[in-house]
Amino acid sequence: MAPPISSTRSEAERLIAFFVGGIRTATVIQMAPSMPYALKETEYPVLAAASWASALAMLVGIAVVGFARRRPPGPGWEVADVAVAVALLVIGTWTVPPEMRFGTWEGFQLAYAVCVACSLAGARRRGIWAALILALAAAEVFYVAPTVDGVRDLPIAVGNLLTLLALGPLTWISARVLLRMGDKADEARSYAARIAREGEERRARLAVHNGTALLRLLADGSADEATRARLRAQAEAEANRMRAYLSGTPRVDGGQTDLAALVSAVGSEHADMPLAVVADLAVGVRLEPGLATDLAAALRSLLLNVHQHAHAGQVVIHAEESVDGDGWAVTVHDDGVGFEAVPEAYGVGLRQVVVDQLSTRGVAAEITSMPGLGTTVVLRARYAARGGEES
Amino acid sequence: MHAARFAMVDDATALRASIADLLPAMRFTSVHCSVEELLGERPDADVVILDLHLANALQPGASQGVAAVSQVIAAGYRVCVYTQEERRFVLAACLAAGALGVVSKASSLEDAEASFLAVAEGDLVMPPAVTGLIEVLARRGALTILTPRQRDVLAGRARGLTYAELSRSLFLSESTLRGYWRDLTDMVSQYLQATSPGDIERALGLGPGDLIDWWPDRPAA
Repeated sequence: MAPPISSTRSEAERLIAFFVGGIRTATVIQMAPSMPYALKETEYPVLAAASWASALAMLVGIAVVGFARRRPPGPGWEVADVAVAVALLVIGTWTVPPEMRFGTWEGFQLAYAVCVACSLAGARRRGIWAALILALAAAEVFYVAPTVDGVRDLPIAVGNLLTLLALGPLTWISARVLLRMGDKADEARSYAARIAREGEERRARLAVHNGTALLRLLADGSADEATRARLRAQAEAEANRMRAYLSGTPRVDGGQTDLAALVSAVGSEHADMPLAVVADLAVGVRLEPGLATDLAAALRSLLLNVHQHAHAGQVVIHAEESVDGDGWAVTVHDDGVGFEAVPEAYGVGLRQVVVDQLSTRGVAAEITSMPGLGTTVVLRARYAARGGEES
Repeated sequence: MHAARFAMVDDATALRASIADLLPAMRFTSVHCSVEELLGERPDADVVILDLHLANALQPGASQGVAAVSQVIAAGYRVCVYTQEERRFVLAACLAAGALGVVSKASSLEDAEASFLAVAEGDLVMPPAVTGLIEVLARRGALTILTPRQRDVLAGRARGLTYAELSRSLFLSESTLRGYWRDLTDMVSQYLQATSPGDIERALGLGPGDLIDWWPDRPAA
């Protein structure tokens, strides 16, 4: 899948620029038929021609700038656009006879003003936008005022004014909503990317943590040959897990796993420690493969911690299905030196391989320890559905 | 009350020669290479620290295993097994034969000494692997007379927790917990000695005859 090369915000801005360019092109087409007639009927043909040329230049110029930059032209262009529109409305009071000021077949100024009002969709600052809209409205009032000769003429004049005051804000608000949606989408995409990156970093740490601890133990020259042989066997198994991570192979060791068998198997990898496995009460508790893999990694991490730091005379792994049959628990206890069991003191193994990773599987980790009194870690899960099986 | 007197039966010459120096807080009255020698001399001792594997090239016919435990107990001694044996059914069979303690030779000298002295005071000492079997018997209804507190203590001991740790989680003093444990182990000891291997096999979910090779022929009285 090709990576996205632009933000949703920029796509929204491009859409607004295309909208502005489109509406200005449509206005040019709408104005074109009025030109010969307007020049013929006016008392100031040169001024009318200059007005028409100015309008054409602004319509096309801003459309081209928007298309080229792929975003609204910016505040400078917007102010200039409104200034020209206001000037054309004022000049129109000379060049366009009052009876010809409504309808693009004669006077283009009102349609042009609406087009400019809609072209302010890209204006970023609310105050500037409101001032520009009000300036346009005031100029329009000035332009149409001479056409009102009684109450009967008011609806047409007011209707034209309201068209500008309705379409202008409508397009501007729509553009704001579109840009906000773009921002939200970008934030969501950024959040998803951050979560994915953090997830990958966490998986990488999980993959290498136990291997790192084993390397440290292997580097310990004081270990006897029997211990080193066991460490080599564990390191080989850990290397296979790391290779599976690097190759992208799913970390699944097989089908469902018996909790007692899993605990016994992990315990047997650490026979160089004074370790007792008590798992009779966990026989028949089935774990789904992903949970079994993560639980095994967590137990290995705990036992490596004991190996490296605890100086324990006795280590016990106890596994059981709860008395009520609604879950299971694994307890890892050592009578070693202990530590201050506050989350800030947890290393990568305890914090990420044990607590964080298992919590994603619905397993809660409870760590109690005091200096001199050993350490107890209880991993506890409740069945999502009955049937003696972890789902 | 006099200090407990210990005798040791072990086929390792070096261990017999050094045990008194290794555990200076204990009073050893004699050491022996075989149960037969112990029973012939009948030393004045309260507790016999007994190795399980005693037959070797010099004494191929020496009594050993659960049979040796039964012989020493029959002679009136308390027995604490001190062994490298780790098969928990074998260790449980020693308790069924009447031993009051099972201590691993892999234990530190401090832990071993504490265990021997506890046995001398009448406590039942067993490793977590065997305590786990007792927990299974209690959970499956074979041991029905345990109180909730005794079950709590049993569960904690099966997880390897010390009395200090249990005291913090159960909000009871260590001496109270030791009392629960002593009452509990008395019942467990009586149960193991009075129950047939077949009943224990069923309670543990084992197959018929799985215990027969290790269990004492005749439970201790």
